[in-house]
Amino acid sequence: MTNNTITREARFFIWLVVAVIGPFGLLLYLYPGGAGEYWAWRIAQPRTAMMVGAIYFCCGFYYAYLARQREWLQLKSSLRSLFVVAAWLLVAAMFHWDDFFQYRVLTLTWLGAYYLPLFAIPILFRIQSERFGRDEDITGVHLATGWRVWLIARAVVYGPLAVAIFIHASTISTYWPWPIEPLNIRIFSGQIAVFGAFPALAMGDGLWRRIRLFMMLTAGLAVAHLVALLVNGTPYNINAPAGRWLPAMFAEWLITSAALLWSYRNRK
Amino acid sequence: MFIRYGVGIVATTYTLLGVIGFLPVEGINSMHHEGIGVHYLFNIIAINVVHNLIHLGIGISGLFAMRTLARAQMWGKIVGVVLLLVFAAGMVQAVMEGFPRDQWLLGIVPLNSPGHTLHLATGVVALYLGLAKAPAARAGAEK
Repeated sequence: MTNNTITREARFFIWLVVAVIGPFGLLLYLYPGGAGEYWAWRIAQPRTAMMVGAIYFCCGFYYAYLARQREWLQLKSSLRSLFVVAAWLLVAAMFHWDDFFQYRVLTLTWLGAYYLPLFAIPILFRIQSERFGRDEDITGVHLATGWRVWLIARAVVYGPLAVAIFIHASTISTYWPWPIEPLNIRIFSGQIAVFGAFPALAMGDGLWRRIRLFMMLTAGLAVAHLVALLVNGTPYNINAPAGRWLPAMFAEWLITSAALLWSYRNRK
Repeated sequence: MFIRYGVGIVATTYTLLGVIGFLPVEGINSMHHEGIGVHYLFNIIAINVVHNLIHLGIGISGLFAMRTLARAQMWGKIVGVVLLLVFAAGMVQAVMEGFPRDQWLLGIVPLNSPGHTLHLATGVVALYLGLAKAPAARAGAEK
């Protein structure tokens, strides 16, 4: 049995993800000022639109890159993280359905894009396992103990933080450095869960290849967020409780992922 | 086998939606002041007793069908086509009525956009499972 092949169903699904979230990212990240006219839910501030769009923008490129990979191991963690994000954002939508524009094309597309992974991803894992076997006994470079401890420590901080932000979104929105809706806080908390806490779960036995591509995405997303903080015209209150914490978190994402990629460059 | 497994996932989801839809818990099945006087499953999907019974029917029939491959595939084809037709009918009706917040399909089943997209997503998955080549057939073909 080899696990060096990806089923055509998985590859099709990933290209479908690219086709859906790519345009989301291009619209929100590059045209944030018009979000109120086209986006699925209310986004008042352009910076909020860029922060939401950053994830779609980066994931659009990332999944296009992922779709060209040959090794299932490289896709697993990304598909699992997509499952977590889809579930997280659907729950957020349940809390704030009144903030959605029901019949906009992007609303219907967004809903479909978040329902489908919840059904499709478990089935894709099963198909992969039946056709090509499980990826046990795969050899490769393992992360050093220090890195594993660091990833777990991040998860211990970011995981509960994401849940707390989700639960207390209304309160947190008053701490935010610019005016933001509780729905967008809850959407954003999903990113913290995935990019802060998920790598610790995804690394499993510590095999570097399990999270290598995911770390590339993390670095790209951190850069996209930092750019959104810097270039956007929305006023930014650095003295708000989250005013310093937010850029510090993105900087940590960038430093951790870049340091990991540098430390294990050319090593698989 | 992934076909039976997939049918199990879709069927379990619909069974749970049907059961939860009957729970008289405001936090789970809320009413909406701008709606059409029905409950909203998880605060987003318009439902009533008939809609819940249809969900239960789809779910329980799927749980029985998943016990054999042939039945699971037949269930996938039938349910997939039905759900996609309901999605298409719902969207056509929404267009004709000028995209209301909610609508009544055939005057008895409340629908809204989260319901339409759920029907679309699960319909696509069910139809794929119904039409997919079973592993044994695939292995035979590859030989």
